[in-house]
Amino acid sequence: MDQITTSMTKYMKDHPNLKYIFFGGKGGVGKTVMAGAAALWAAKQGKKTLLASTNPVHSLSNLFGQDVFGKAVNVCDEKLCYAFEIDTHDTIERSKNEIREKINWFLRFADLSTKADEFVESATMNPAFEESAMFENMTDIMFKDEYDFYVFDTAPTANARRLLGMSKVYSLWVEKMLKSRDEATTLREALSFSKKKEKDPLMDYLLSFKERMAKAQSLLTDNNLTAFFFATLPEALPIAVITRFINWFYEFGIPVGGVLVNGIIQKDQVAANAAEFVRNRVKMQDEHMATIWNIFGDRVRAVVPLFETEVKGTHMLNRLMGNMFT
Amino acid sequence: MVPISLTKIFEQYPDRRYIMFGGKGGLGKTTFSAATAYYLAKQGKRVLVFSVDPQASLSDIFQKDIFGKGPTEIMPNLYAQEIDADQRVKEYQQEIRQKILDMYGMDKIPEEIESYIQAAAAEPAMEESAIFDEVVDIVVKGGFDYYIYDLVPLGHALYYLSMASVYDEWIDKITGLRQEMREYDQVAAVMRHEKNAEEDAILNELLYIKDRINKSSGILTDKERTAFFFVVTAEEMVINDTLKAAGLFAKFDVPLSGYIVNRVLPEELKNQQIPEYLKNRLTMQEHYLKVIDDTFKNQILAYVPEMERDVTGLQMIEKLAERMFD
Repeated sequence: MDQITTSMTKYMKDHPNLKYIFFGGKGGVGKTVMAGAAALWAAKQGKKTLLASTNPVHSLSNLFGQDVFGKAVNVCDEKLCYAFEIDTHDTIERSKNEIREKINWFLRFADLSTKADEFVESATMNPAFEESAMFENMTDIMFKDEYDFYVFDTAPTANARRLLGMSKVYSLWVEKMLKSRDEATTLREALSFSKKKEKDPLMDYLLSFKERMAKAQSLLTDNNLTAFFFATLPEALPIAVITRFINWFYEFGIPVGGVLVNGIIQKDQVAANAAEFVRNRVKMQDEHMATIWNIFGDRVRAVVPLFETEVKGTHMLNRLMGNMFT
Repeated sequence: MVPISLTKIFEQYPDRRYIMFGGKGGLGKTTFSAATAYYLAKQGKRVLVFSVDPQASLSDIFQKDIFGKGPTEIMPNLYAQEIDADQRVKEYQQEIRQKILDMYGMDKIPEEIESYIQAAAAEPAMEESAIFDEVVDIVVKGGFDYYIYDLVPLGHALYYLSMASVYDEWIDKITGLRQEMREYDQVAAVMRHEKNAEEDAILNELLYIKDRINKSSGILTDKERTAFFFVVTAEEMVINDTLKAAGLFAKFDVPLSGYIVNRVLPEELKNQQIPEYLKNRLTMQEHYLKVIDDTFKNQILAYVPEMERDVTGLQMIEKLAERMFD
């Protein structure tokens, strides 16, 4: 097979309720620009669209030449198109405060005079903290439900997979916490003289956390709502990376929307007497395209040309979009 | 501008035995790591190139499956390694299970505890810690003249680098608390007329970990022994991101040794028969090469040309190494 059976446009048409799409792949393959073009397309369909970056090193401000860090900004000529670079700094600070409150409450609960600060620091210095914060922000954005359509530009490494897989684990963990917490409360009530029921904020937190995780998981694994798209170049390394990626996503039950190939040299532009360099590149490209058709087959959704300039700004995004959604 | 030569840098600073390549995804960090390893191995140095990226590509570049197999000989003097974090986590889980079985004389892990072990292992921090641990192992073990770190893309490299200081602080905190507890233990022991408090095995374990981490994080910020190179390409977004990242790395006291410009389209193409898109790309490149010159000035170590095909296999790695170290 060497042609697209279900194009990006057709896929969208076949999944009319699609609401959350993700772009993943090796670094440098054009995830951000493809996510940008997809957001633009959705906005043109009359959907109020948010393009959000969960990559700790954001590129959206650069792409649109506008500061979108930490706030959703209208970026395109299309009124419905917004871009947003998730700022984890605030979330981390906020979580720190939340944790501080909870720990303080717990210390009072346990009649301890220790100060919370030290515990807060060691709890939030956990290296996974930023990753969790990013996930929390992402789900927050999803739950707020202020947009009709969401496009997420994810980080290049495996953390996208981990981020999504985390929801599964958390519910397991929270379950345990809830149980032991419940036992502790019962015990405390039994020992207390006053027998007066006290509100337990930690318990409330755990319950809401559990709910959030379950909700995120159900959204992210819903075939009708969610699709993960993988971007690649016609080169060996990015192909190898997404081949592995796709298998992981199947394992997690996250719907795979398909593969988008970026940066194709247009053969009709290459004359027979073209420079050897160019002819060699085209030859290599043919080899890798054969591999792509072979591995991904009817999951290829678009093959997009290499442009004469960097894709930046709405004009170039429009061109890219035209090629992605044929 | 004529760059300072990368070869000279290696000759000038023979003590810099820990070599790192950083940069945005897809710019050529892994290929540069492989080519540098190749060059040094040819000089008769014993070299280990290893990847801390859970999404590693060394297997693809050397066209040999080395994932999770430990240091694997690629050619005389050249060894490559891809860390399998999952495997490491599994080993760690098994260790815990064995400890529980031994300690409590059980024949089977209770279901309750088993699910805790499972949940803990799926935490993202676990994977990071596992990789970090393996890197420490590699470095502490020694046996090679050169260690080449193939780092994860920018955001995550920072993450990894900051982890060292985070762990250090965290363990300081814990050891501090443990030490205090130990003093109480001793007081309690004296009151009970015991001669000596029991040796605190946990404290010793923590001190051991701290020592290992200090050894490893010390390397990351050691100007004498470490060289950190940034990879850039002649594109606006890449230059902007690199500047941002360089600032962040400086914050972590990572000794920046210079910049290598990759994927430079050969100048002579200008006078050859080439497609329109390539003509425009060449013009665009000319502009951004100037920007790179102005931005990074005398810190540029080499310009590496875009190759005719992607760099996989020793033959192409040799070609690339020749261009990098000329």
